[in-house]
Amino acid sequence: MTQKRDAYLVSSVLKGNKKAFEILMSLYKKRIYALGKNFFKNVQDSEDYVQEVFIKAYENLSSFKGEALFSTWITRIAYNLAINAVNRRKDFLPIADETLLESKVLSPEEELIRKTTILAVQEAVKDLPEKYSICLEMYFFHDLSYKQIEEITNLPENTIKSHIFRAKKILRTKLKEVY
Amino acid sequence: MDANKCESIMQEYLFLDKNQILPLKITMHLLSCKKCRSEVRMLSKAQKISAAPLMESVSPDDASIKMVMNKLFSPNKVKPISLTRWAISGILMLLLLLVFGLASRNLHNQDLQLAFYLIFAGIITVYGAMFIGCNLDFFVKKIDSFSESRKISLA
Repeated sequence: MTQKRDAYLVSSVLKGNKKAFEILMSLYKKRIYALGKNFFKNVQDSEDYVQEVFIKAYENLSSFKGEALFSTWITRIAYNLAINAVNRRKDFLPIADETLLESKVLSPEEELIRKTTILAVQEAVKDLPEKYSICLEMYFFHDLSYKQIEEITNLPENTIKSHIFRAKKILRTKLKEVY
Repeated sequence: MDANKCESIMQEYLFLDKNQILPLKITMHLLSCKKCRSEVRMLSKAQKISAAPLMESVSPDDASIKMVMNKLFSPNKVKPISLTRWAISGILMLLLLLVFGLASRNLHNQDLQLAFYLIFAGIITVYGAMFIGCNLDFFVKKIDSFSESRKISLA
């Protein structure tokens, strides 16, 4: 469903429909901004980064062939842009802005689950090198699969899997404590 | 239900990817084990809830979206001048000044020399002002990060 929607929007943009690009940006802005916040920590740099990512995506849109999901393709562009800002990379901050992970319509029980998940991911990333911290965030908050994360980061899938497995184990324990 | 079996099934479940179809072995176990079933339900709910906020779209009227649209599609879009071009033109300007200085050594008309130097001074001022004006964002960020690092070192 999402794949078809994105493919349709991309082909519309390539045919000259500017509005379609505006819709694509509105769909992916939150994710790109959240990624930017991890690397740049402040609002201004993250906003500039979002614009840079979208401009780069627009300029390279013809290279999107639909083999990968659009979410993977744009996150790869975003990830590479952030990583290339070498000096800033040292400042990677996991779950830099928790407010971005808040949803407007959650029941108290769901809110508790959400907070527990954030705590579990925070605990799991504590001793991880930054390149793997971002993998956990991509899995839990960006809704990306192991394969997609591997395509974006070029890190070995099995290593990604084992770090996410550890985080899931922590989440399981924490959920057990709550319920 | 055997606790070891439950544990091994849960370990297998935790290794699964997003949206991956449950293997028959796990499905069968979940059908018969209420405890594991509720754990799995809770874990999948947690993953679904945590991924939802970033999937929300923002309004197309969002400031950064508008700025990108302006940058990409504005009819009077001005291509920014790269730092290399700024540097080359600056060096060329200084070379010209040097060449003029050398060439005008034997010139006896000091008024003419003064006029030329005043023109050069004007050009350099305009160049400097335009350079800072066109790259204001860069300078503001540099100043901000410098003052931040000073604050940290003083603290």
